[in-house]
Amino acid sequence: MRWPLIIFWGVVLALVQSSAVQHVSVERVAPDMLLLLCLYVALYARRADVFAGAWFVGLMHDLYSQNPLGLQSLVYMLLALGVCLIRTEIFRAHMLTRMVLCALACVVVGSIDVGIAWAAHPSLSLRAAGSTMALAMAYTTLVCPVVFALFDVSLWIAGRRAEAALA
Amino acid sequence: MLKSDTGRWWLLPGLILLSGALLMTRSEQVERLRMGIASLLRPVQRFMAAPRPRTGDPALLARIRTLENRLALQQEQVWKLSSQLRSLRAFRSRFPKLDVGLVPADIIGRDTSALRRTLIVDAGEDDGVSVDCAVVLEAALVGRVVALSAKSSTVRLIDDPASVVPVVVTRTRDQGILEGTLADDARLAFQYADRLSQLKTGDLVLTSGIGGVFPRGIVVGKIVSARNKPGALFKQVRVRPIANLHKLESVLIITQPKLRRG
Repeated sequence: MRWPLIIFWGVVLALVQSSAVQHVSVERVAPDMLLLLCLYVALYARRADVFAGAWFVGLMHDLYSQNPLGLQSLVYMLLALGVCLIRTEIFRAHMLTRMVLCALACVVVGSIDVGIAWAAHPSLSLRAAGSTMALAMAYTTLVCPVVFALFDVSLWIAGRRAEAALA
Repeated sequence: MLKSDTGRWWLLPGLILLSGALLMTRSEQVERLRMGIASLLRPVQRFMAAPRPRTGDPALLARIRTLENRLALQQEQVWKLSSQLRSLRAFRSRFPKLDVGLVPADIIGRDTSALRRTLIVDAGEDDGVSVDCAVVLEAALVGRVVALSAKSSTVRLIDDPASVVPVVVTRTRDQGILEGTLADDARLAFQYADRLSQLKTGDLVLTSGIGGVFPRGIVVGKIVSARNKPGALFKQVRVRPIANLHKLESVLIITQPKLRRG
């Protein structure tokens, strides 16, 4: 997965995440499409582009959020580092592998986000924040197969097979 | 791993330092940078948030479908204008002596984070909006403007964890601070309520005007629970907002409030 695709999907998904996806939200909770893109970049981008790609995706997330700028970039880079270390050991193309990886990534990112939000705003109800994040992450894992299939198609259209990056 | 690929070993620590620098930069500069970059794509956001006509059947009923689509769009426009008029009338009847500018704005985007409650609206500096302008819907408080660009603004809702609203209870005149808690029904925490206060379910909560951000007397919500927890310094009070924060489509932004004499 090369930079033009990363930039294209980063911009499109940031717009979709802030505007269109709210129409399919449940209890004001929508799937985190940018997290899925970060995961896909960590799995399929060239090793040299993984960190910068994850940083860029996190920055797009921060641009359309009131969280501190740079926060999600750091979190996504940590996630990308973890995924990059194991990506040659797993069967990346299998749907179950992708969903399990997505669920684990959601738990890690969700826990970090809830922890930081609770530390920054003591009046925050930890139970409410936790249940909101859990719902968001479950929704994200549910749409993971569809979104990853979309990325696969775009990768194919761009002239590269998903497994060609494995080297 | 990094070293073996291209020798770009500096990339990871460099990006971490850059993120750290962004996190430590002053908030006004960061907001200006964020709004400046994000505003480049506002026209696309506006397009994605706009209503869509139904796609027509290009066969025999093409003309009927086209007319139906136009009618649907006009009905949407009529509904939007009626809603704005209703909201303006409600606000004016509540505050006949308050000389304010009211800017109607549509919601074109929301926060990408599941733990934040902010909106992006299509009114900005060019429309007279400034930072800290209060935002209402039919005379009930919705939030305030926290960042803006020429054509759009970011509104922090009152149930956002970072939201703080100085309020007063109409019946008992108890003052306190309302903070967002991310609860499912948008319940707000009423902080610093005296343990001996006589607050009860159903009491109306208004803005107190303290701090100068929110004009005084705007309805915020009603108390839904008030109890003393053992060992707590203050009474635990929860307030449900009057405005339906789950179904916002358009809002009114209050600009330049000042009290008219006479």
